[in-house]
This record gives sequence, C-alpha cells and structure tokens, in this order.
Amino acid sequence: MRPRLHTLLVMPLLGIVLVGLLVFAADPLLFTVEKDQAGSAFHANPTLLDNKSVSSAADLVPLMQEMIDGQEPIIGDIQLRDPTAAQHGLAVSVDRWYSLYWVVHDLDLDGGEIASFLTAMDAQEGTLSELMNQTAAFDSVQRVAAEGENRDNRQLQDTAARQSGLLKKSIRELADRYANDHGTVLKISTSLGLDTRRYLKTLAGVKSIADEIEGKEVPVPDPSAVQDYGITFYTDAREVAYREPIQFFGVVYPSGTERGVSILLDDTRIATTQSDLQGNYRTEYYIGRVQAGAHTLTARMGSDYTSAERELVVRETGSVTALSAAPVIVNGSVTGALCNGSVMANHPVRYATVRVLIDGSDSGELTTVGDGTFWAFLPLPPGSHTVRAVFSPEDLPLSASASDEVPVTVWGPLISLPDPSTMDRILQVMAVLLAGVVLIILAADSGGVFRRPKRKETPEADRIQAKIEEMLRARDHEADLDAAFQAAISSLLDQYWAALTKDGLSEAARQAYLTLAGRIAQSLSLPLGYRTLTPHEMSEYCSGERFAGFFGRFVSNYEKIRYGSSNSEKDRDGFERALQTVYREFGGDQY
Amino acid sequence: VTSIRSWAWIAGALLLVSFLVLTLHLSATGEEFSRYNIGWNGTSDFFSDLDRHTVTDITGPADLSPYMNTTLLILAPDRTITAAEGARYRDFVARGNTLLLADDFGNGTSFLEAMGSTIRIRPGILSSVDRAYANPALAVALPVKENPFLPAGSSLILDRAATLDGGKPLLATTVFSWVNETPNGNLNSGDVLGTYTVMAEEKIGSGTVYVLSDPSVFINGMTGPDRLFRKTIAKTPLLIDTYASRVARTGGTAELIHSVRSNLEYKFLIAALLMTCILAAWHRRII
Repeated sequence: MRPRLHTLLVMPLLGIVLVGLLVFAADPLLFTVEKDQAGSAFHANPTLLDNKSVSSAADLVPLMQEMIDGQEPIIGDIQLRDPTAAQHGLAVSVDRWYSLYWVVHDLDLDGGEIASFLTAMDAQEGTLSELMNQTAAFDSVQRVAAEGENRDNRQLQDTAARQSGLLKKSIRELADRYANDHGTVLKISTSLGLDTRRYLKTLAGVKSIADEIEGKEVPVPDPSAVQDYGITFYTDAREVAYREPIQFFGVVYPSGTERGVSILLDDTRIATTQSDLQGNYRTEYYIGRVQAGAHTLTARMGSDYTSAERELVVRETGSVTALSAAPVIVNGSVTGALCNGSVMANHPVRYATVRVLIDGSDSGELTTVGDGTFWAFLPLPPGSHTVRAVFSPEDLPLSASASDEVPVTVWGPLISLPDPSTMDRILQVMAVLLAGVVLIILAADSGGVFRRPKRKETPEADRIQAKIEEMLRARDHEADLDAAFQAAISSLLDQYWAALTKDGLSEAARQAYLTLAGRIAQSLSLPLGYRTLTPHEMSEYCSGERFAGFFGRFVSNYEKIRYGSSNSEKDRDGFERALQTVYREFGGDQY
Repeated sequence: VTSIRSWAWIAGALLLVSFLVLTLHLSATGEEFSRYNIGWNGTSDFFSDLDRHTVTDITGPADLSPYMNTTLLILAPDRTITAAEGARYRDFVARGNTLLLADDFGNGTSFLEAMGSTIRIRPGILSSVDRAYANPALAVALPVKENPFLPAGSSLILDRAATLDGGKPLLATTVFSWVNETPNGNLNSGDVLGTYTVMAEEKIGSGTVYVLSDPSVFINGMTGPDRLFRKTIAKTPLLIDTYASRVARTGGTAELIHSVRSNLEYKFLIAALLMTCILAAWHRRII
C-alpha cells in the first residue's frame, strides 16, 4: 500500500528540521550567548588556532646566543687586521640577525625587549663594520706617513697628523657607542639566562682596539705646511689587485667650509667625499672593473678642477672557474643538466659573465652573483654531452679561465607523461564518462533491466489452473448450490452478487478475493502454496506488476470488511468500487 | 513494498529523534564556563568526566559546614560574596579542607579578599614565547614546586590567563613571558620578559587555598591539552560551588529544562503523563 501524500510531505520537512538541529546543536541558537567563536575576554578558541605553530624559547634562545657569541671572532679579526675574515664574520652575523628577525616576526614578538635586543644587535654590527674600516684607514695613514720618502714631506706629515687625530677620535666614539648598545644587549641577555661570557670578551676587545689606536704616536700637525689654496692627496696602497682596498686621504685649502672632493681613476670618477671644516677628507675604494696595468688617480676639489695626482698599479690576478653538472628531468618530460659553478680570483668574482659551451658549442651566457657563483638548467636531449664554463675577464683585472669539460649523460624519462594541461583534459573526460556510466546504470535499474526476469509460463501453469478450477468446482459441489447460483458465477461480479445475496457481505468478499487470487496465481505461475499467503502478502507479492496498484486498493478494502468486521455502507461501496475496477482491469476475458 | 505501517514507523522514529535533538538543543546553553554548555567555551566535558557519586553541588556557603577533608572547586566566580559569606568559605578551609579557585578576569580577587587570602589575581593577559598554539596567549606553564595537580616534567596550557601575586608559587611560565593588555597578547614596546606565577597555594588554618589564574583550562576547547591536569582534579571527591561560580549558569528554556531534570517530583509527573499518552494511543489502536 502506498504512503499517504501528507506523510510524504511531512517526512522531508522533518528530515530538514532534524539536520538543521543536528548542525546547530553544538551551538545553540535560541540563546543570547556570551560567545564569540573567535574568543572572548576569558579565552581564545583553540579549535580555530593552528597548533602546528607550537613554539618555545628553544626556537629563540639558540639564535640569540649565536648572535652574541658571534661578535667575539669579528673583533678578534679586526685586532689582527684581517679585514677579509672580519667581513666574513660580519656577513654571517647579518644572516643570523635576519634569521632571528624572521623567527621573532613569525612569533608576533616584534616589540618589547626582543625588539630592543634586535635593534641593539643591528647597531652593533654597523659599529663593528665602521670600526673595521676606521682601523684600516688609521693603519694606512700611519703606513704612508712612516714611508721613508715621505718623512720629510711636511705637507704629507701634516695631513697624516690631522687624519690620525680624526680617526683616533672617531674610533673612540665607535667604541663608546658599541659599549652603550652592549649594555642594552647584556641586560636583556642576562635576564633571559643567556651565557654572556664571550660577549663580555667582545666588549673588552673593542675597548682594547680603541686604547691601542689612542696609544699610538702620530705626527704633530705642522701649521707652516698650510697652503693658501690647493689640495693634498695621498693613497695607500699604490699597487693593488682585484677587490683590494685603496685608502685616499688629504687636505683641501683653505679650510673653514666643507668642500666636495672627487676621486678619479684615469678619467672615470670612482668615489666622492666631503672635507670637514678643517679641510680633511678621507675615503676608500675597492678595485673592481679596472683593467690591469698603470693608472692615474686624481683628487679634484669642488668644481674648480684644482687637483692632485698619484700613480696606481693594478695587478692582474689569476682566476679559477669551476663547474659541476648533473642530469635532471623537469616536469616529468624535459631532460637536461643542472649546472652549478663559480669564478674565484682570491675573492669571489661578482657579476661577471660566464659563457657555457655544450658539446663545444656556445650555448649562451650566465652571470655570477655576489658570492661568485652561477647556476642554470640547460635543456639537453637524452644522450652523452660535455659542458664547459668559460670566464672572460673583459674589463676586470683578472686572467681568463675555463672549467674542465664536464661529461653528463642525460636519460630520457621512462614513462612519458602528457603535459599537465593534457592530463587535466584526460581526467575531465574520464570523469564525464564515469558519470555517464553511473547515470546509465541508474536509469537501467529504475527501468527494471537489472531485475531478475520473471519466470516464463510453463505447461505446469496450465496444470495448476486446471487444479484450481477443479478445486473450485469441488467446493461448489460440496456447497450444494442451486442452479441459478452456479450460472451466476460465470463472472467475478456475478459470483460476488450471488454470494452477497446468499451469504452476506463478508463471505461474498471472501469468495471474490479467492477467485481473484486464483487468477493472479495463475497469471504469475505461482505454486499451490500461494493460498497460504495472506491478502496483504499476496498484494506485496504483486509489486511491480501492472495490476499491483488496483489490487492493493482491493485488498485494503477487503481487509476492512473481513478483518475489520465492517458492515458500513461506506466500506461496502469502497469494496464494490474496487471490485468493479479489478473486474474491469483484471477480471475480464483476457485473463 | 513499504506498507503504510512501515512509513508510520519511520515517521515516528524521525519524530522521536527530532524531539531528542530539540531537547538537547534547548537544554544546552552558550554561557561561558557553564557545564550545560557543550560548545568550546563550556565545561560540559570536564563535568561529564566527574564521578557523580563523589561530586556534590554546593548551592551556598551554608552548605559547606558539614564537610571535612574535601576539595571545593570554584570556577570563574562572577558573584561578589559578602564578608559573612567569605568567612564561611574561610572557615571551611581552616577546618582542613581544600579550596581550588580558578579565575582570571572575574570576581576571583574580591572572593579571595573576602575570605582573607593574601593571594591576588593581577589584571593583564599573560603571553609567552613558550606557547601551544599560534597565539602567545596560549602560554605554557610548568611546575616550580611539588604540587598535587601537576607532576614535575609535565606542563599546563593556559588560555588568556592572568597572573598571581602572593602565596607560594606552584606553576609558573618560562622567562620568555610577558603581560599586557592587547587583545592578541603580542609583545609590545615596553613589555618586560620574565617569569609569572599562574598557580599558588596558601595555608589557612589546617587547610589550603589553591589559586589558578586561568579557569579556561576547564573549558571544552582545552580538553586535549590539559587532560592530565583535569584528570588529576577529577579523581578526587569534589564539591562544586554553583553559588559563586559560573558553572551552573543557564539561560532561556535551558533553565526550565534543568530545573525539571533536577527535581524528582517533576520527573515522576512527566513520566506519568507520557505513560498516559502511550496507553491512550494503544487503546485507540494508534500504536
């Protein structure tokens, strides 16, 4: 029997309400809740937070410790006058500073004492770098003044005396500045339990340098060397190589105003600086793109072309080019070699051009970065190849060099996968096909294609039908019905009306059902056991048959009369209407 | 084929489930720290873990008088108690009982003052580099002295905790911690790093007062991280203060439902009504 319409409507509504309540049950809607999913004054909602970002002081403390410890070797290198090592130490220190900065930033600690620590450490790095440069400048001035040929040069001695005094003062100021920042860092480090022993040694080293410089004897300025108008210009060293520094210093006359001073290498300006109110100027330059050989350095005062000159020899330095190559496959299909290399000439050769030869043929050029290295992916077909890097110095004071030929064997991919866009297309088509197959299966299933076929009628059916008719005849015989009644049962309706007149509604309904059930059993080729089925079970057995609907309604009305003992006019009308429908649809001659 | 009777059963089952869900829904609340709040900021998980045979609700300070050698839990008090009520709590502790007060920004300090404790809860959100989530306000606290709640080597995760003054420190944060008033707890200029006490004890008479500066360790959202601490507390027989604290707070229909649930006469009345309905339905052949 089918459910009533209102039941069908109510059930989805109930389902929707149920799902809605289940979804919101954990978060009641009916209250004015003191809640905010993002948190309240009392707590944050941990379920909204990422617990992968768990952190602890263990992320921070080692970096801070490294930073304060890392300054000791730097100051040691400055004391030993090893600018290369000191620069390297400073570069490492800058890297550490950025590491700590990003950790602090990620942990939202950009404030308070941690920020003060970072600021002070940053300032100290700058101070140490300045200290390194000023110490090197002081040494240069001292060296120039001490050269035998310069001892009687009154102007040079006067210039050296002035510069030395300025540098002493500057170095002392740097030491004081460092000590000030050191106090800030030391206080924070001590409160956080860091080991500050090495850091304390660093401060002692800075003070030691300042004391050492201050204690050195320097020439006394000679007032008689003062000129009315002009510029003095001295350099150290006079012979240099790639990436080596040259110190420039001198005095411009008359003093009293700050003047711009330009330094030219041949005719190219390579540095500018400004004199102080006493006329002293100083700067430095690191040899870069300068051809090897003899050059002229010129210091020019302001715009009036008053100048002084010095000779400079730039030595050529041998270079070394190194290369390594490894076969790689990119994106599953592009074959080639990943090349890494470097160009060194006592120092990293920065921003220089390197040509790459594949199997002896020029395949383009690469440029080195700040640390002299270069790298590239070279697309190569599968097979054996050789790769070589060739460095041409061009305008650098370096010799040319080339790497060894590096053999590289490139293998093709074992499985050639389509490119990602093709792959996407294939997956899309497969998805559509799969969806289509699923839809076809569902449609076929709803049409009964996959249902077990009904058994075909067999001669056995005829035998059962004969048996049923024989049983009916025997029962009728036993009932000793009169002739009029025997004639009346020629049809289903006649049988019903006859029984109704003779035995009443309940018995008439029973006989009508038995006759109809017998005909259905014959139609469905049911064995004799069908008579053990209740009307309701018989109705369920007919599901899927064409007549299932009206037979179901017939059974429903039949049950009210037989099992509900109903004699009401309404139920009798309903049953007879169902019986007429059944007779029209099923009880005719076609069955 | 499904008969009309089967459909009726399905519809009936759906109605029953809907009724149960609706009851659950209406009996829940969103009150913070409420044991009837099944959301992240309620304490239903903690209270469902307690043994109901060893837990007793205290509805007022007068209820405390018969108890000896027990522990009273006061969670996030929001009621300002009078001096007389404070004296009853003090007397309870002095008789040899234990009082565990967990509060950060409620009326904890006035409660402690009223009962004569010297421990104070300081305002300001505690944050730390040592944290359990991507939020410095979820700081990690560690034992600094042997205590009955947390063994050495374990930790307690706090959630926007306050800090404590006074008493003997039992749990404290690491030195990489700070206190400020910003909502997100981020380190700001002027913030000083240091160790802060989050749990302290004080002897009063023969008993002990323990103060934890964060009641959020009991909320459902912190069930995972603070399981050990909560289990230790749940093991002991407890008195639950529902007078001063927020644990029994409800609102709306939940109040009605919980008053029915906690009253035996009401329960019998409702059961009788239900039985009558069932019998009537059976008699009329509805079921």
